[in-house]
Amino acid sequence: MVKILERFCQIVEMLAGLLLGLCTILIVVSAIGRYALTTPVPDSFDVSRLLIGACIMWGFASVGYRGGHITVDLFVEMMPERARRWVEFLAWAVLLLFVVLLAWKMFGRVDSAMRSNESTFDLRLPVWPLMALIWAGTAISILTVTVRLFLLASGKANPEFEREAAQKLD
Amino acid sequence: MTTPDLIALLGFLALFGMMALRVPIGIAMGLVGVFGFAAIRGINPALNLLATSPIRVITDFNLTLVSFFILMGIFATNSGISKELFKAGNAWLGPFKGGLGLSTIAACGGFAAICGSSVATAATMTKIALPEMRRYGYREDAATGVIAAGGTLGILIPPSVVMVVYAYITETDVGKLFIAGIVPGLLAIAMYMAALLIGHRKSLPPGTPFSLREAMRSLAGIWAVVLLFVMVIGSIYWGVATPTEASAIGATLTMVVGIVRGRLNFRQIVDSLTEALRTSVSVYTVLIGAMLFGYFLAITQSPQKLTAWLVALDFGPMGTLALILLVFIIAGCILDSMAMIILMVPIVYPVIVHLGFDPIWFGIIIVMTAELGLITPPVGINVYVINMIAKEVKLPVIFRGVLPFIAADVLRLGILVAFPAIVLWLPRTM
Repeated sequence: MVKILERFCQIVEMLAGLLLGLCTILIVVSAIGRYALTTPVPDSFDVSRLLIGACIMWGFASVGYRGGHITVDLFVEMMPERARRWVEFLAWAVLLLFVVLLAWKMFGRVDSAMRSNESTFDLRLPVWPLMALIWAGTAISILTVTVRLFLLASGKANPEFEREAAQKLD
Repeated sequence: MTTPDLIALLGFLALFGMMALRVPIGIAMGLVGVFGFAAIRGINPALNLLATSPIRVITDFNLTLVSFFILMGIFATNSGISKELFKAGNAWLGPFKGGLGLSTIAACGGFAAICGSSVATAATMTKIALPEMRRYGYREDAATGVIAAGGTLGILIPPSVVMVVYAYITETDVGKLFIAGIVPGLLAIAMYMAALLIGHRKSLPPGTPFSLREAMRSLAGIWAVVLLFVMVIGSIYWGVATPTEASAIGATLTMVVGIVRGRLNFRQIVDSLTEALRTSVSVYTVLIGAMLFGYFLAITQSPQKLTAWLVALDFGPMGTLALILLVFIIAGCILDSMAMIILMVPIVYPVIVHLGFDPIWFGIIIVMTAELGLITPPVGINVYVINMIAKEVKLPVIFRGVLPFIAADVLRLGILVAFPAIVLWLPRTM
């Protein structure tokens, strides 16, 4: 199960990363079209922002398993190893609560976009399929965070795993 | 104390409690935002915030430049652009005493012009400059201190991911903010060089012989940095492209430069995209939390009450500003710089506006306090990054090495507070 989920996270990150790259190129092509040919790519605005939203939420699912969120580590690092494990468990449980609430309420937003025929600006394409893609990433996060929580509870999670995945932001 | 005040107090306590227990900062802010809002307005309106706010943040076109600038920085790091910068810096500054250290600062400044991350700047320069400085007999504290401090230029010299986030939460013009960072960035380079020459004067080795031919030839290697900076920051300054378009063009061009130079293959491009995605996710998570927490702040009117309280203290604008900056500097010692800005700026920003300070100028000042936080103990992230790469150099040695640069930072902060025109004249020419 652990191996399958790790592989799943790798594939999700790779696909979402490639999608991010495609959105970058889409905006560049649209900008060139607008300035050089006075013809931007239709719907590049809506499609790129919605696809980036999808990238972020699928990436969120992966980070929910692998770790890498911005946290304050100072106090936890002063704790003994046993206490640190319980604190990690608690932190992930709080994350799970948030993700469950988010997936539940975000589904309502997708539903309302579908019912109201919300569409893109240029081509009038329905936006709900892309919103559903965003929601699917959130829903998958419930699974990834739950598995991570289970691994922490059973002591099978590598305590260094998340620290290794910590992001370099500043 | 009224009920909203009590709820606000409990909300802040819950937020700090969760943060101390390693709950992701964005998640802690989001939950306090939702449940704090629920305590005043009821659970259904509060839960409805989760239906609209997070999706609005992640699909906001104006925020997509966060991911693009992150991507640009990662492409620049992975394609080894910093090597040429260091080489050029050394060709021109090498003949002076402490020339390699001066070159490191110049290269950090150059790399910061195409990378919006301080940690990435410090990490990449550690790999390139530290072995060279060791070879020429630099003491460990001076060599690592100069890299840690030089790395902080990443968030001050545009493009800067931290500035993008500040602009988003305060609704200021990100283009003007970028341009406002240029002169303070150049000042920082000059002052860091002075700090190196004064603070580490006893340990600096002499320079190497100068060769005009080599110096001129080294300039040819930095064409990519000049091209990228002009294309990205130049297009924003001259209004040729929007900041979002400029960021996407910058990321794409950096990738193309890496491919043309044979330094980025398909695997490295995919890895860079994946890394950019992970970093973007953590920034967006904090932004989602900030948005939800913002509703809580609005309904409890905490920023307005803080403004009234600070104004009533009658310290005057400068006294109040000094108090705010002190809080930021202390917070920067503990919190991640991005998280610090997202968490604290919405609370103090109304005070700043009320006191009549310029939002663009304040943005630069706040980025500078975040820079300080990157090299001050106990959580100076740049210091930890260098220690991770060069494990044999102990943390206290690096912290000792950054002391002269911390003094330079504090002095620079004082200069820019006293003379806001240094920050504001360039953006006013836009």
